[in-house]
Amino acid sequence: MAILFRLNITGTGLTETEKLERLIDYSHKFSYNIGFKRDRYHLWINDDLEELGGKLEVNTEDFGSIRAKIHRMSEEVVSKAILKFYGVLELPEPIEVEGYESQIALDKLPATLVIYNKHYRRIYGCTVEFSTYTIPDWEIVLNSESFRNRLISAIEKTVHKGVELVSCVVGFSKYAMRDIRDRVLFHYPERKVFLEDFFRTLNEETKEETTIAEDIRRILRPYKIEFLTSVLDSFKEKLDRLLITFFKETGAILVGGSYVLIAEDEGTFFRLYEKLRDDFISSIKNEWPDEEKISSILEKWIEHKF
Amino acid sequence: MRVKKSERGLFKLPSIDIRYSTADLREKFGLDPNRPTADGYGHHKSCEWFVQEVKSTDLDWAVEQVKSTIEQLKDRGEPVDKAFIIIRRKPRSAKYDIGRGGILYYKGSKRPVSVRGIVIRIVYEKEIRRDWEWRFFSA
Repeated sequence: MAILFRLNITGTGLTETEKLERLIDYSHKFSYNIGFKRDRYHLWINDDLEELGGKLEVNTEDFGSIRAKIHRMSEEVVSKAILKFYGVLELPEPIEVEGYESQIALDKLPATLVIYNKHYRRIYGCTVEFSTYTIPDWEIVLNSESFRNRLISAIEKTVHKGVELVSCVVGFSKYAMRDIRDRVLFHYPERKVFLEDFFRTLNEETKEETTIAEDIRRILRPYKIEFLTSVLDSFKEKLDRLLITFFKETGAILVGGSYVLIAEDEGTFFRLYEKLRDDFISSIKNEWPDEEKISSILEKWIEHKF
Repeated sequence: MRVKKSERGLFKLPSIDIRYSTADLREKFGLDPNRPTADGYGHHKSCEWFVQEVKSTDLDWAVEQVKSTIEQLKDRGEPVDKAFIIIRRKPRSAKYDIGRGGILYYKGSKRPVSVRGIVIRIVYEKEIRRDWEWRFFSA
């Protein structure tokens, strides 16, 4: 359960402090647009758990003191900083929650926004994470149209100079950025990112030790995701038609002309991924040059040359 | 939007004789609406009180919700003997490992994750069976 952002910092010669400040400003704008009222800030170094070697540098209700602290830190320490904003998300309409003995209407939910350091960005594949507790954000996205609209509008309205949105996804876990199957919504400025994520999910599946994963492993091993993506992306119009067919067949709802996909239910993107994967693998499996074929081509070339 | 109570996780067992959901934890026990709350607080016939969080894949949030709920219940003088996180499939976590008996450990350490002395245990949904209750509660 998380709303995850993959962000690029544009510009050259920026210090770590300047990069982090841009992310803070971006997060600040998103918080405002989504209705996240923050009241407490944590600045951690290395990790956000003491048990894993993390150190809580600042615990404050004053946002300004976080900025001041960052300016006093060395560049190396700033690159290890994790920022956590705590507060409540004000909902556009109350959620009625039924209990065994009582019933309540929640008009706000506890929420956290985290700006990850480089270490965690590599692990999760995302830069910023926003999540709600008690009722997970993905469940609200699936069931509340007013919240969904507010979220999409907040993503589109949040623009900050020097920060480029690569993708935003809503999923069941922090790993949803790496795995299409774990999602209920995604927002891409470019179709290319969806292709990258498709190949990334194929890679993730190879870790699951299933028979089909063996096929995937064999097929993908000699190729880089960037290469496969760029080849497919060069067939823009045909690819668009193909993807739209898959989206419709699996119940994913494509909003407008941009790549905003909303799941119909919890399993929509799982089905979408499986359909794409099976079609991709069954179509190319027999003619796809594997490692052995590539090696033999290279061998022939080198023997011919020398 | 409406969220209905559901007999999820250990609440499915007939030997659970008292069940409180998130709404009850807020209304009956006055838990802070601005802090994370777990999915349920229940009582097993062996006289053990437990907190459960039912999650599909993510352990990090589940731990925060269980921690916050145990702390608040204990602060109000309510009994908590056990804590469980219920999962469907093996979760990915950068912070925790699952050890023998489902005990949750901090990644790469031998230190179990505990809150006020209560160790958090992981239970796979498929393990929740009447004849396997002894794994989670006293006889």
